[in-house]
Amino acid sequence: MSEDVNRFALSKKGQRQVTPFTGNELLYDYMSGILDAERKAAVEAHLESSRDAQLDFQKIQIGQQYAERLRQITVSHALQERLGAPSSYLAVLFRKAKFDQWPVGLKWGLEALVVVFVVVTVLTVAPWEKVMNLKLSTGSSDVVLSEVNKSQAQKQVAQEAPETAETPQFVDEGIKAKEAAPVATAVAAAAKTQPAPTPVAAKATPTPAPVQKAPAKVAAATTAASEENESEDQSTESGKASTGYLYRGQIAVTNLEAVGPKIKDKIVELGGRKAGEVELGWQKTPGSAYFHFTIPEAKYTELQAFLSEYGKAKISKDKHPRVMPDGIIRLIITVDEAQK
Amino acid sequence: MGESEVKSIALFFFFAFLDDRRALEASTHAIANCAEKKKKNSQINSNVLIVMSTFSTWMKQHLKLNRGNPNISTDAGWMIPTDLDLGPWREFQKLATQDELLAVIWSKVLEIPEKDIAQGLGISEGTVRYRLGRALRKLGSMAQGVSTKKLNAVK
Repeated sequence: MSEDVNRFALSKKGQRQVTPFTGNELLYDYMSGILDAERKAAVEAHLESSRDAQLDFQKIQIGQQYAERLRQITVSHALQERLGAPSSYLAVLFRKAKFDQWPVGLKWGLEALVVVFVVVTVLTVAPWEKVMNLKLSTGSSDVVLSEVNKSQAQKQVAQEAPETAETPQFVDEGIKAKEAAPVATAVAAAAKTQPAPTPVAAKATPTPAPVQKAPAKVAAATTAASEENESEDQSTESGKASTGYLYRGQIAVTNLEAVGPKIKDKIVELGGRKAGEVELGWQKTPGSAYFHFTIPEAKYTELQAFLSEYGKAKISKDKHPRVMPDGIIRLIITVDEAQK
Repeated sequence: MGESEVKSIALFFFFAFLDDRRALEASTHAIANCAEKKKKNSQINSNVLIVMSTFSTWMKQHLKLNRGNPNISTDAGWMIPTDLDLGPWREFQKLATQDELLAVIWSKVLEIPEKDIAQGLGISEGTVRYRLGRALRKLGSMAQGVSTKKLNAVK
């Protein structure tokens, strides 16, 4: 100890003095009580003589007391549990990969890559064909309201049946009387309201469908729909594989009254023949004509070109159970009056 | 990780950031860091471990911090006595140097011994005491005008 003391420069009176600078710097140590007795005495002497040292010491004391008061702030148990809970796999992965230290460009690039991947996957997986078909089919559903007298319809059917048998245009296009029965009533009813003849409908015996019993008889008489149902039934029954196609389209024209017959003539000119029960250009509604026909496949392009003179034809090629002979295609085209 | 360690780390970042979101984010990071270090060296003193992990997390995240814009609420899970005035601390957090701020939190709020702080930072105890002396002077001068009466009442 005596050796340690001898190392310090002592005053003439043998006292160990401190400079004001050192004295001020030792104030915290003095307050903490870690100074040896001699140093403590020196700092106390400095404190008595220096006003600045007194103010500094007071500040340190107040700071200490305030800091001790801050210990009253605690953390709720819920927060402690939340923080102490094990991290998720993703969080651990990010931490291990030091994701926060990656360059910003790389992070953005990665994010963009993920977004692109998700978008491409959605676009690839989504059943767009079904979605498009759904949109088309909802657009062309028309309902004709008519009243049907059950007994009269039965008589009419009985009378007209032998006369109206139609020879099939193709081998697979034959219409069986029995199969036509479920839809015959509706077709007959529609035929009453429309000038177009519906010969096939008459040959079937009407069945007591719930629709006919209603006070205001409602028959869904879209002839085209019934035809398709028939044909689908036929092919299903015959057990053939569904590898045929049907071209289904729509075109909006100006002045349907004038354009309708022109289209009909063109179809005939191209070697087209009506394929359903109604005549070519059947007036489905006042503003809509219906063309269900077959033409040689080679003439299809020419027909498209002709139609494009009157408007933009939207024709889609759909799979259909009915198989057409080679080189012949079947089309259903609805020609509507363009809306002004 | 023990409860006291989690609590200490959370409080450290509460006082250091005065920002709920950043404090919680940094706490999570520091706790994970602490657990990792403990796994590597189970003999290490927990106080030293807290100093090391909080300091390394602070060094990574303090640059994002806009000091002087406190954003704290009791909803986040901090339990602050109603009679405690955080004004002087906000001022101190804004103006104090990094060394002073961290030294006061470790030593005076979390009550980590100076020896452990020195060991965790790899500096001498004298340096820690020097920083504390300067920091308390600053904190005292800020608390002097605002809460002398309250401090006296506590006395």
